[in-house]
Amino acid sequence: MNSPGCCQFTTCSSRRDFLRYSSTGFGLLALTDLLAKSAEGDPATAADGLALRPPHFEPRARRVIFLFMHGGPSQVDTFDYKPQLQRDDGKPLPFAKPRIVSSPTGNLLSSPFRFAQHGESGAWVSELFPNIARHVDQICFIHSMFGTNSRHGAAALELHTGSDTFVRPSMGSWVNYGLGSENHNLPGYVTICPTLTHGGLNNWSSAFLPAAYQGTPMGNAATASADARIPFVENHHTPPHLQRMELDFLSQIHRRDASAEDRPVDHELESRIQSFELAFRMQMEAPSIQDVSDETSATRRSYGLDDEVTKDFGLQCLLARRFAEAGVRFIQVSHSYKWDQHTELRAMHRSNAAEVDQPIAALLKDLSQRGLLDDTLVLWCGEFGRTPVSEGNDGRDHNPHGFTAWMAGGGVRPGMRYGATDEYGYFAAEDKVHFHDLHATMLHLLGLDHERLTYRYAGRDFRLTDVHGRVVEKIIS
Amino acid sequence: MRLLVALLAALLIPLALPHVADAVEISAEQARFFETRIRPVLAEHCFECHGADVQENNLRLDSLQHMLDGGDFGRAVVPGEPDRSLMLLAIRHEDTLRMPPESKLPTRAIIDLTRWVESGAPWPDQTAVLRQRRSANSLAVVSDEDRQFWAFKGLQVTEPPTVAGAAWARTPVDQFLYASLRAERLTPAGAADRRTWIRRATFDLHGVPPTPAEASAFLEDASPGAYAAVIDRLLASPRYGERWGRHWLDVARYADSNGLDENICYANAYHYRDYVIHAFNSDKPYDVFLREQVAGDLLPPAEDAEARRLQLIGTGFLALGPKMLACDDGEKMRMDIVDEQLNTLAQAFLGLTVGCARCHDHKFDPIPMTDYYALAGIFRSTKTMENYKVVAKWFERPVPTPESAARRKQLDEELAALRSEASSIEQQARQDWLATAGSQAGAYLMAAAQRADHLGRVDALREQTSSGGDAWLDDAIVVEAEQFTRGTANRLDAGYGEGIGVIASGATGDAEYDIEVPSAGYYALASRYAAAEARPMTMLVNGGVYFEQCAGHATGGWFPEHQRWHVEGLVDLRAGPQTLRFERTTGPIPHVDRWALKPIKLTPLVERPSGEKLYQPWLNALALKLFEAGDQLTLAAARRLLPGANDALEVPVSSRHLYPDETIARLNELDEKIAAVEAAFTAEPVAMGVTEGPEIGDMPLHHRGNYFTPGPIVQRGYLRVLAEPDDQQLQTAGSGRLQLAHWMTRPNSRASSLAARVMVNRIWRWHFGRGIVRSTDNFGRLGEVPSHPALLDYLANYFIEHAWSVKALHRLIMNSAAYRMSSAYDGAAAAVDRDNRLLWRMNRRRLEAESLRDSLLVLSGTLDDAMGGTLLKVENHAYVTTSGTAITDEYDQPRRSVYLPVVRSAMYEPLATFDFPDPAMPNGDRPTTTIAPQALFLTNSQLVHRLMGAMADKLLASAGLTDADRIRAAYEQIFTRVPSENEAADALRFVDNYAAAVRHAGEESAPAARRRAWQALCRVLVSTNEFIYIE
Repeated sequence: MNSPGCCQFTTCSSRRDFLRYSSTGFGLLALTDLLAKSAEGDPATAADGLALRPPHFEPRARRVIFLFMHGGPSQVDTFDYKPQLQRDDGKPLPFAKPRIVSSPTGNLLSSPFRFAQHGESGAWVSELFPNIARHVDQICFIHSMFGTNSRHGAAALELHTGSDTFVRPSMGSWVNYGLGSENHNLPGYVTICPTLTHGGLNNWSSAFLPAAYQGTPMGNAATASADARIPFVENHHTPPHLQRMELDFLSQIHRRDASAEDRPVDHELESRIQSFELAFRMQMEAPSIQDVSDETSATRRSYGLDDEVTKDFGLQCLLARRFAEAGVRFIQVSHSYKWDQHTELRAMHRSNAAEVDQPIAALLKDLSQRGLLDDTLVLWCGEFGRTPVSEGNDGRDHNPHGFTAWMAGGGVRPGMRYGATDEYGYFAAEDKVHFHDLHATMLHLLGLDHERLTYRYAGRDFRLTDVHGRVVEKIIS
Repeated sequence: MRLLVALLAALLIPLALPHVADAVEISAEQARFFETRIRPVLAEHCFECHGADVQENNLRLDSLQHMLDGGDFGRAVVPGEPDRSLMLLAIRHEDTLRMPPESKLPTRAIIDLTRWVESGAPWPDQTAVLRQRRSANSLAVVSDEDRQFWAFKGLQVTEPPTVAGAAWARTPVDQFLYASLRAERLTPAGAADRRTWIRRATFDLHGVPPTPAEASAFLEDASPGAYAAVIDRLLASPRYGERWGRHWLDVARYADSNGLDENICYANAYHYRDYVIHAFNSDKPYDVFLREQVAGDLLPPAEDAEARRLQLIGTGFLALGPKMLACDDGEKMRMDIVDEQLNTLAQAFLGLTVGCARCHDHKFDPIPMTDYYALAGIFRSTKTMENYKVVAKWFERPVPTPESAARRKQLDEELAALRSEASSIEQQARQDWLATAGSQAGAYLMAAAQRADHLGRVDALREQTSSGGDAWLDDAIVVEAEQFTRGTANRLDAGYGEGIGVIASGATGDAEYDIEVPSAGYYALASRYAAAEARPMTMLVNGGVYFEQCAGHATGGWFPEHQRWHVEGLVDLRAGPQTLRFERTTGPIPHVDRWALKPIKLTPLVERPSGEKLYQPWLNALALKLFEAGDQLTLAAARRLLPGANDALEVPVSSRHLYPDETIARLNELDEKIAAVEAAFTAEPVAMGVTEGPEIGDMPLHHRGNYFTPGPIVQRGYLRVLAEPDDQQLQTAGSGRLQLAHWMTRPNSRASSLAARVMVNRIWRWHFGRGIVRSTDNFGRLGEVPSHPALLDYLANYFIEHAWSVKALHRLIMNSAAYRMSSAYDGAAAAVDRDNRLLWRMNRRRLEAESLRDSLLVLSGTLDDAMGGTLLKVENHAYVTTSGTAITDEYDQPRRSVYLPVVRSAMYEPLATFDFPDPAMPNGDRPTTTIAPQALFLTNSQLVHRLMGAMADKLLASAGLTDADRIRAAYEQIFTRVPSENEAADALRFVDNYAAAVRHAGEESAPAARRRAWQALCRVLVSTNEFIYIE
């Protein structure tokens, strides 16, 4: 145990203390502290609290696109090929199952899907992902992921926040807290069509971090991605020219108040005044990002927007690229709660994969062609995997003990397979990677030291990785 | 005899080695035993992974020190205590932790290692380690020095300082503040004007602006008691409890759902919220308030029924925290809930973060792990949950009000009368039916005899279908199962239905088919289906039950390859349209591919009975028995089979459809009435809370917070750093909660001193925007130190002396000169004390989320002042969110924000945007952030648009007013002042220009454009800093 322990405290941090105790909140903070350093004094950054902050060291990635496969895709049916499982179909598992399981399971169930090797790297991919298979040489597979909880809610929270027990800031919030935002007309952390259950808002909330770092949800799992919007960003009652009149009048009132009093510029009031202008700009910019009519028809087709099966997730992926281009720091897209195949594995894993395969492949290709993949970290992951043993005769139970995640771009080693599960794909066995390690590695790629990225709350310095986390050096290129 | 003893001693040497606590020297015999029996085993089986080179799970076993240090799962060896030595648990291969992983050690080695640990784990050359361990006692001690930290000391009696020039001071509070200011050569800001003060006080105590009438009454009151009168008026209003109760709800992390994973509705949590509001309004002494929330159920029951009810509801504080209700590890869930209660309790009442000590001694505060588990034992002995299943249920208890109890009695009586009537009608109807059936014996026998004969034909058909081939279907009516006319079944074309199309269902299923039968007669009904397990369905023809075990066999699997034809039996159909229905109400249906009706041409043996309503299941059963009896059928046998005779045939459980129509109608009517009364029952109040648990006792310490690695049992008790020399040990047959509650409020104790300090500091924070101790929820070493320690103790003493009256404290604080100060900026003062720690001026504060919404409702004139109750429409234990839905209607109510549901993991956006805290943990110090979404909410939301539209309507409705009057009214309502001439002129110009712009855009009429302009004006005015900040 060489980690410093959860209660490693620094004696004082003036920045944090301001954050915590200044009743004037973020406006004052940004102006007195951050902007003093940057010398620009742009009150807009004060208003959204997302002033750019330098990383701890040279980053490999500047932003993250997280493709969340909610429900738990089966590793042994997708990317973790297990010949022995195929051979021993129907036989009992030759070692003990975990003490705590979610549902009763039976004997080994071979994958109903054909696997083949792809690319220079020779990665095994099942027939479910013919398009992603063409990109394996850009991908780093982590076959030895594990978590600690076998239920969707707890596992999803563990993936998003590092804790399956308490409410903690989400990883996107930590990233924004650490780095700030490159575009002040947009939120720094966007989550498109997130699920409202299994942690819901706590999967994108900033918890005790300042509210400026919380994820901005666009729609939810029940919303078509074409209809997903940033809350309140659309004005359904007042046309822009009238709204402009209101803002001008508001500004006029504020200016008179400011000039009436004999005192220096009040940064708190000033930043609130600016927040209206910022909101107005956001209202103009956000819809233009969501309007994909300026994309070529080839691009639209490549994301599958012309196909009923792929168009919803395809648009999510395309929006992710557009937000990435616009400087949003952390973008999450969710394939919501579809992968939970306790039954109907054959049919449903096939249809789920069909919805995401082409869009994800298109995203990788598009990012790559635009040179964005170099500094964009793409992460594909569920909250857990599934058991190699059967539940019923066409299903698999939750399995947090061993599953596959993959990353691409952003400084990860392409064409790599890291870690391994046992011969049947049940438990992570070699080079195990816990969610904490995944988080530590993600932060590292972004130029942040997970042990230094701390926030003082209720008398403790908190980290995304709690007292754990190990950067998986080997997967960094 | 002596020889025998010596012999025994020699035999028992490994066992009888002195316990480590008694001696640490190692005998030669012990050393030999270790070198021959222990070290080789460790070297061969353990060091490879737990040695100098590799340390799996950070564990090394190659020295005693390393064993004692342990690894990720805790200490490997506890000398003298085999059952607590993780290494020994692991080598037994009995639990999940199994070492060595691949194979169990030889039994001999397991016994040796156990004996070695029992004898104190003597390891040659490591006596120093043992000696050190004994003296260090491994568990932290709390020293007198620890108790000298300011927060842990008893309250000091502090006299308000008298400083020259303190004429400014109005109260002792001011004397303390003034002395601190003078010490830094600062002077307090001048008094705010009366308008600012009444606005400040009204927002402070009610969360909304003063009405123009309230403001002018105060402005005109020149009496010396004018300020105090306003304070008294505000404190006497029920609005006060709604506002200040909400402050406490922040601390109590109040919410109406568990949040986190499966987000389930706490539909009864609101009783606690109403309890808190009532407590503030009635100025319940804070010590009582504290005790009720920790142990209200255990306090001597109040004589007054309503007061007793509140005692029970108070314990909701412990119950309504965030919880993972779906955890496959029930014990983890249990300890997490205990942890949450403990953390909340200690932070809320004592400002201490005890949670750190779950895994290790607190690194900064003198809270050892043993203190944590001493407290945890109390809560582990407390019942919060009914079970720890997935999804777990929490404990609730009825909290009847006198009215609800009376109502319940009345409903009980109504219900009994209705049930008795229904039961007698049912009984009579069954008798009638049985009598009728009995009188139809002849018809039954005739029909059964005929059907028995036909069964032979069915048998033949069965053979035909099972021998394969579909030729027999040629003259049959064949129906694809998925072509049903009505029903809840699902059609599956893939997987189970690959290539053929089948129906399946969720928890239950049904499918109805409208078919056309060309000619009357007997048909064999056959079904083709697949089922891995028996899922018998009921089959009905035109509403009458025909078969009760239809498609009821297992065929070997669910897939197309398991599809089989099965002949169910004969049905007697008339010509023309018919409805066939298949249903299963007790589980899912089998995977049905097709149905077939194969005409069976028969020569009737007897005339078919006509006009008789024969009960088909009986007829089938009767026919089967006749068929099986074959030639041996005798009259006696036949008689035995007859309906009503010796209960030979079972009376169906659900027989209502057999009764006359008017009886059915009456019974259905009674059912509805009964259901209505039962529904009314649920209106009886039930509250979340805690009670004494079924298992009461001390619990072991959990190494690293993991219950897999239990340590020594810790006696239940209190925090030692706050203990008094004369504190009694916690000895009780109960959980200890009652004793804990009393301990925290016992007069003149360290614990009650801290409890009082924490609460007066909270109150100060809520009045001034900052605490005397800024870290309101942490009074430990990592919290802030008080800016005015003497004042803090003065307030705490005052609080206790005034019977812990919160309202007394409000009066003390709000009547002060400090509370009257202006918030005006002073550059010189700011240069000395930029953060205003010494309070040289009043802090400016932004409206809190609820105040903003409530104020907009007030301004719109649409606020509903109703108190209490719940707006949730979701049932208790039902999901408040799914992957794609969250509640919305509930928020769309003109009630005060304190009554809106608080749904964890899906907070109401308008409140969350303005820093409404995540109810995950106690929060006595809400942050104030300024973010663009707040501006978006004001400019774009429908809510603000609607409310400001209503305000515009109100302004425009007063016909006698000029527009200038209206501007003035708007300013008075929104800002508690009249506009300057310039302001009024600007506002008028804005309204005119805006209306013109609306008109210019077309569409709208002149009055509509005018309304829009006023609406826009109101929206702009409530968006200003002047409205949103309280000076």
